Amino acid sequence: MNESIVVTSGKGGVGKTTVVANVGVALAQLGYSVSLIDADVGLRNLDIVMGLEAKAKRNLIDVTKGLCSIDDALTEDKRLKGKLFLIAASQAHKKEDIDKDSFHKIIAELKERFDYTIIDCPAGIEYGFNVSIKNADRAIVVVNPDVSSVRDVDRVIGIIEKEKMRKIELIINRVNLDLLKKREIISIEDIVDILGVKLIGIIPESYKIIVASNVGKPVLFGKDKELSTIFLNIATRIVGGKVPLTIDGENGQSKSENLWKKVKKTFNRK
Amino acid sequence: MKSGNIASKRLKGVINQDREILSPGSFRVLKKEIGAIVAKYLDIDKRKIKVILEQKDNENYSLKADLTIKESFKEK
Repeated sequence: MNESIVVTSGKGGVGKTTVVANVGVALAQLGYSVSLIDADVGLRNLDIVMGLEAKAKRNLIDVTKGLCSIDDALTEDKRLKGKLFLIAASQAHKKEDIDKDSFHKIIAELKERFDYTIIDCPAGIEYGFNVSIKNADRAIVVVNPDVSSVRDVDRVIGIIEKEKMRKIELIINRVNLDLLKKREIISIEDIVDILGVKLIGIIPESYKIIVASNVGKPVLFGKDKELSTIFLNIATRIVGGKVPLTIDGENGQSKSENLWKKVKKTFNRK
Repeated sequence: MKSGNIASKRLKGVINQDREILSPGSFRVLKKEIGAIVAKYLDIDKRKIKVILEQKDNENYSLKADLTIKESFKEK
């Protein structure tokens, strides 16, 4: 069954957009058809990270206002012909300009046409966030290993849990492996333990990801095997494939493979 | 103590605070009691009681109740 997935974090600047871009590319590389929607109206970024800013002539608000069709706004990523499409946000509007009903119709139509529709949710927990989560079948929360980011994600999970979400999964982004080893950041185990949702990816902090955004070429189009594997494995887990993930990352030998299973506690999350 | 452990400890502290303003059990009771009190004065639909507890900012919470009054909103 086709699904819509919201990628959200509460706090801004944790790397949601980069995750959306790379997970989108990875799913398309696995052969699934994917549409990416930038719901961060007013702060349009996804097309830049993807390198599609020149091609994305029409945007989400054009569609919700009825100024163009969904097809006019769907920008194809020619690197993955017929598999990967993007609808850019509008830079000139506010989140409140997203008409709820039109947005719902757009997502419903995209869901009919694509295996996966991924919504890049704006930061915060206000209107843009609400519209995004209400149109998603499942959620991926992105967190950085720091106190404010984890705290915000905890709140976001609390809100999402009240929606009829099929799944809530976790990606820990910007993990400085060196600091992790030195125990100068919160451990992966602690984050998973506190949040109590299934971990589907650990993405290391990497200058390659920054460079990729600079040039508009997601890492999966490059030659970096390690980063590509990380995103392809995340995509595989999203579609339900079983690739072990340990607290040491994709190639770890740790026995805590099903880390998240140990932590299925019930929280009094609000 | 490594700063990572300190961060974990602080995180657990704030999250416990965030989560435990009211347990789900007490929340259900609160909802029921709000309904019971209002029902003394107005004919409300007891199945349609919405109570929302929200965090306003770092320290303050707000409690909102939304009750549906049956038929005309006449006094009992």
